[in-house]
Amino acid sequence: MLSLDFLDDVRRMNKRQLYYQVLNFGMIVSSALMIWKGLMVVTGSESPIVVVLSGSMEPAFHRGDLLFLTNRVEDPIRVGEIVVFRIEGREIPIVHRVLKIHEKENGDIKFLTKGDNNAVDDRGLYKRDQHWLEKKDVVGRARGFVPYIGIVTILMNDYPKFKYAVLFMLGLFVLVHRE
Amino acid sequence: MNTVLSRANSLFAFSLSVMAALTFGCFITTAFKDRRVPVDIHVSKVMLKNVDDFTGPRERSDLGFITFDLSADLQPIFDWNVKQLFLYLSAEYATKSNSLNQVVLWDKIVLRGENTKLNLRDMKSKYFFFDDGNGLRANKNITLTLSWNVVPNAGILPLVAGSGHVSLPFPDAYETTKSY
Repeated sequence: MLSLDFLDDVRRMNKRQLYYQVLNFGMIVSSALMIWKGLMVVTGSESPIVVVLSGSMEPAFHRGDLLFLTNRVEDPIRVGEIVVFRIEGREIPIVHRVLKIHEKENGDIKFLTKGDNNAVDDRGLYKRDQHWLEKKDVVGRARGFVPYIGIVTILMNDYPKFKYAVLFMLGLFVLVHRE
Repeated sequence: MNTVLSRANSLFAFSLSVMAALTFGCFITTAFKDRRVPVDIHVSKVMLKNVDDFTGPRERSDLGFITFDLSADLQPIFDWNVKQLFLYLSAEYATKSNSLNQVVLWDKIVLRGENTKLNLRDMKSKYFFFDDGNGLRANKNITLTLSWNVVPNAGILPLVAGSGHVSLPFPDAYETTKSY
């Protein structure tokens, strides 16, 4: 059975192989981190990949879809674009579409958003007395999309025990597997 | 390959790789396609009022009313990787206080399988056309464009402007009668 197989592997390892396994684990973690940080630099966004959390953009995006964002300063914000923004003081990013923009000659821009599946614009979501969003509230613009993949993240957030169980099993697997 | 668990594991891994390859194939075969089609926009009525902006900042602002006709054939855009089109009619103009203004007047979602021939007459705008201030009065140049956001099954989300826009001026005086 599975449990006996890998226990045998562990017993056969000497000290050097054990260090190698730990180093291997460290390499995998740091490669993942490098890829993530590299993506952040290339796209200019602090959060280059986001998972759609609500149904306010249906039928285009459903809960669990993955969005690829860019946030390059040279890209101007224009109506119709799908922006991911954070309201000041709140953590959860919102994915909605730009409905109105008013831009001054010096580049200062104020804009209004609305979810495709919502009947009204987002002014009800903004802070009290806040009527517009500004560039600083934007996390990124949605440029690409892959369906369904993000369901795993939502599951892990809703059931934290599941997240710890998965991380624990993965860690255990990488540490003891002899490849 | 002799336990149910190892067979299930390799089956799972294989289906994951096949799905990933299919998704990438969907993306790469349609990533560079030209998604433009000709669009015909015609404006039949323009009216201007000046009221308190009840949708947001409560200042007296210009409120425009436009009645328009739209026709376009969107059939060439749909292919195996297009899930839906988000159409939006936007008005673009410049005022003394803002060098660029864009307002979405109307939008529509066209799903794959729905009727792709657009032929709308005497449409009123879906959203209130408030300006940030009083810049619509006597504004000579408001450009209406129909654009769409192509939502794929997997891949890039481009914004495409239809070829064919219409420019119109707004009247010099406000409408004071209770019309529309």
